[in-house]
Amino acid sequence: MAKDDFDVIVVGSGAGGGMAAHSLTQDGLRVLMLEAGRDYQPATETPMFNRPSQAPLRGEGTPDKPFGYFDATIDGGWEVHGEPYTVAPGSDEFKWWRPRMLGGRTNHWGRIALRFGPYDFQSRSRDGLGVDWPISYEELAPWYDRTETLVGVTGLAHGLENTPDSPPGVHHVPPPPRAHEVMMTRAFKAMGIPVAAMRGAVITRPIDGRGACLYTTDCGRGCSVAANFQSTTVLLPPARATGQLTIRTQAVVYQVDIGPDGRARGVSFVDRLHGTHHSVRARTVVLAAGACASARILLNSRSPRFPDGVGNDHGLVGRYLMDTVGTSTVAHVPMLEKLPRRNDEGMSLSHIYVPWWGYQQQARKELDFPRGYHIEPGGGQRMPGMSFGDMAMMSPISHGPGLRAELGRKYGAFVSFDGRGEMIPNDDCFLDLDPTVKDRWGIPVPRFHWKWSQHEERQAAHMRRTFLEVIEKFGGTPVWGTETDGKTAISKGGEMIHEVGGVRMGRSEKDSVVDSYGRAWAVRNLFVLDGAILPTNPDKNPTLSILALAWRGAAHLAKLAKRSEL
Amino acid sequence: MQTDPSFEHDSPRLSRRITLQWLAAAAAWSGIPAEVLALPTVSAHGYGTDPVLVKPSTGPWRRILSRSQLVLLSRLADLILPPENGEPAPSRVGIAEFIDEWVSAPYPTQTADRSIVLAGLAAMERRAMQRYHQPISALSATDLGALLDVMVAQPQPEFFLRLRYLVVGGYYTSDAGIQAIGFIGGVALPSYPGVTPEVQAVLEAELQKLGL
Repeated sequence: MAKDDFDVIVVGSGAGGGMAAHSLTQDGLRVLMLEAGRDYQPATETPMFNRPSQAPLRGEGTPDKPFGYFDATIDGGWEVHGEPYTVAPGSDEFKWWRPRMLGGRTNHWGRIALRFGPYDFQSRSRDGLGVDWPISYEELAPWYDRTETLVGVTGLAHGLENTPDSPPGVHHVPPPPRAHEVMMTRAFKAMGIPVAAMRGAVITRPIDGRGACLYTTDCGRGCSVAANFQSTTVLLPPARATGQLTIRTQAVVYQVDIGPDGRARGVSFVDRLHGTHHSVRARTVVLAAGACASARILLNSRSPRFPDGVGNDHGLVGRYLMDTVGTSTVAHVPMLEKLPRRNDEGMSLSHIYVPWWGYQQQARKELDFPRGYHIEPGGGQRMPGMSFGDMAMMSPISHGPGLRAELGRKYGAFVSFDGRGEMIPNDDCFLDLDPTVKDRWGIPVPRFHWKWSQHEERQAAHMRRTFLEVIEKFGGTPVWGTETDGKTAISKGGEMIHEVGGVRMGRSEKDSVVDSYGRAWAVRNLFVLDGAILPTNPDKNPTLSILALAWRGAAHLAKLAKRSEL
Repeated sequence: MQTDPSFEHDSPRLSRRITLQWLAAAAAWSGIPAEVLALPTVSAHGYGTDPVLVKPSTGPWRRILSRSQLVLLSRLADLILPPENGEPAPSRVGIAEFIDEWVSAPYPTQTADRSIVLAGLAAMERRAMQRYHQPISALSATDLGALLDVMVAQPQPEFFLRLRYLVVGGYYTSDAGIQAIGFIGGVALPSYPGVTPEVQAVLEAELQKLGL
């Protein structure tokens, strides 16, 4: 590769990197994308209709495939061979999910695609906690519109507080609710809690050569007809079609190379298969390796000008790491035992969800936690898994004649509630470099520090109390997740796989690492365009916002490049 | 006891200390000295972190169960989940072969189950000799059922619970089991039908009872 063969190097190929490459190539820039994992082709590699009997151990999760055999995660999971991370002594547990494949985590993600609302950008102004964003909802809204149009997101306009509707014609028509979702909707409404149609990154009408949802199989396997959103099916094909995109896989970037002028001149990476080191150059560098990986690259990019890492003059790189607050409860529902057999497949994810309903209560100080959460319901008569074996524990007949009938009654008679809540950034949650542990190529690894605050623990307790109340409304019995002590109920750090922050955006270099376009204050031809730049982490799952911010940042980059202002 | 050469005694996946803890637990309820149940661990590799997902497959590792153990597991599975209403018996859908795949696998959950299942089978063979003075393979279905009832009635029936998990889970994830449970799906649809009138009628009646 000759010097400056490329206008932009994009590190990472997931939501942030995929969108950046899509936007930059559409704007005529020559892009080199570096992906740490292997190439991946959903059209030929997705086990769309494979049954449990066609997988080892009936598809149950193992250390090799933690979310199940068919999960679209390659060479990864909670551990990646030869690429460890550590948790600091005295810290609470933190987990870090990584794949090693083109498209990253967009291949298996939950496809819940929620816009942040106006309040979410002004949270400090509203309650004095955390920080405000340097942009408003109104500034990001057009990019949400474009992103939803490109990605394809289901939804309906409900007019709910801080839950923005999309312009007419943007959303895809959501599939109707399943039977247990009708039941849940009635119970929530009896509690005065509104229920909304799911905002899912699944198309229900064909667009851009992609097929509409087939209403079968698990989206977590990926989709060979491209009905759900994956970077590999939605962003990278049109980027490649421009002829402006070069993709180099198996390239683990570990450093931004800084020239004597203090500007980024490229990056260095190690070939994951051969262990050889390489440096490539371009006029601009975009990091989108995933929040923790991008922060790690900056911290490892040390030079006389940046002895503590690029952009870290104020010690902010790695700081204010966040995840989503999570709790779950499972209930048995006798009413559902009486329903005839039914098709509960649909678009894989829930067809409804419960947006946060307590803004006014919080404004009146009636709740003991300041930020909201939403609820993702689950249930239905889905393709059986090995959990059927656990269901036998619920049968009054331990074995022999009659056990089949008991299992038949219990099939589809369980529902679940997953609460997903906002975490407020705090000083105890961050990553730095482990002083001794290195990966298999000798590069220092991230060391995590984690501690939920009482805001999150009280919120988790409220989630559980809400779940128990609604379960009682429809006559169910909770069978798992009944503990209402927030400290016990809350998920582990990183476990929701919504880790964001670490390279946060802001209004000046004293309070942030990058500006609202992801442009580093310290190195003006370096951008960060993944979840690392989020200054707060609202309850609304971050992927749609990462996509919208990446598009906005990449468009800004292209504009500057055309004006030779980079 | 298995002496398959694919076993090794100090697998890095499973410390000997933990193995001995399992053995002690198994021995506590089976009445067998722990040293008799010296179960080595499997050294085989798993399917790796990048298997070809679209190609139907089962675990690539070597199977460890003997023919007599497979026969015994089939008979026990049919006692746990006997055929009813025209639905096939577990033995007809390859349940023993599935359990063999499971307990032969080199992963932690399956390794733990291997200890439990092999110890449980050994305990049943011993009880057959004690109670009926004949090998377990010679017992009638009635006598084998009585022996199974003894295992169910243990204060900590770990063997029965894990065996039932494997039988029920394995059965209903087989193609015949999926059909038996009445799963509707697995085919592409032009649109999602939502709640059918038949389901809606029952649902509404139930919701009304609850004032919903």
